[in-house]
Amino acid sequence: MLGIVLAITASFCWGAGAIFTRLGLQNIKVSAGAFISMLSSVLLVGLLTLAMNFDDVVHLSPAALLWFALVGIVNFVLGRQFNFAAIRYIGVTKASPLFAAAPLFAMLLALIFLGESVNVAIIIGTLVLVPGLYLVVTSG
Amino acid sequence: MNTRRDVIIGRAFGIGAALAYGGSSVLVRYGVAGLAPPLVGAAVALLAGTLGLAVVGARHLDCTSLTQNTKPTVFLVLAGVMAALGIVASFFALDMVPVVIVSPLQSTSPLFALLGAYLFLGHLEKITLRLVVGSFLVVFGVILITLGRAI
Repeated sequence: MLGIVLAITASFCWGAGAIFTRLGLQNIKVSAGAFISMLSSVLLVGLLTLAMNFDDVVHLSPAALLWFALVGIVNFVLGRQFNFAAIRYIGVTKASPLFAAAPLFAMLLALIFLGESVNVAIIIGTLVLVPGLYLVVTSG
Repeated sequence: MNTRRDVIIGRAFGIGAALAYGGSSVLVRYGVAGLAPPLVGAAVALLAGTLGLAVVGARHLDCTSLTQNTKPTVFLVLAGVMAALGIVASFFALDMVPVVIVSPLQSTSPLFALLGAYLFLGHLEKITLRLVVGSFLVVFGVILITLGRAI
């Protein structure tokens, strides 16, 4: 039960974060805003990680370090900046469903580059998601 | 009021963000799985992201205006804290229940954003029936796709 509560908490936190982003970005450049938010994120997660997994941090291999850094560049330098820019230009209610479509792109990338297979659930999901995105981006 | 140009740029950035998130999840799934505990990976990725954004964004920081008007800074710090809490809660959730339960629940964040916008951003955001129906369809579609990939 606690695991389910935590999963919903994660979803709530990301939704609330988008609202705070909308409120915070009104008089500040997107890249500067993304940097401020990243600083608070890294402080919180960094301290928690040092407290809970200090040995794992110390013994992290250079290969793992580089892979995680690559993930960070793609997810945060590109992803969070684009995320903030989209919220600035079209608002949180239209931008959030676009970000939520990330699993569709992950599936397409995995299909193209990693040969991942497609099943009925994925096909139906795509057929539901795409019209949903169309409704969101064309809403007045 | 958004101009047509703003809307096109905003949509492009939104799709760009989804591509970046999708791409990084593929990297995580096939590149870094098992290399270190997820929280350690998240911390390193966040640190690399912060350093990258320091290069791109720090030069745009106007400290004088930030200290004169602290409200936007406080909101952005809260946005970062919420994002971090989401990451941490997500990792602990995955430790306790299977991914087929966690992923669909996590996919509902646009609905929380929609509710938050309705409650707190009435002066900034217009919520229409079309937007609400579209958001629910997106969430439902994402749940099916994540379940389909997890089984």
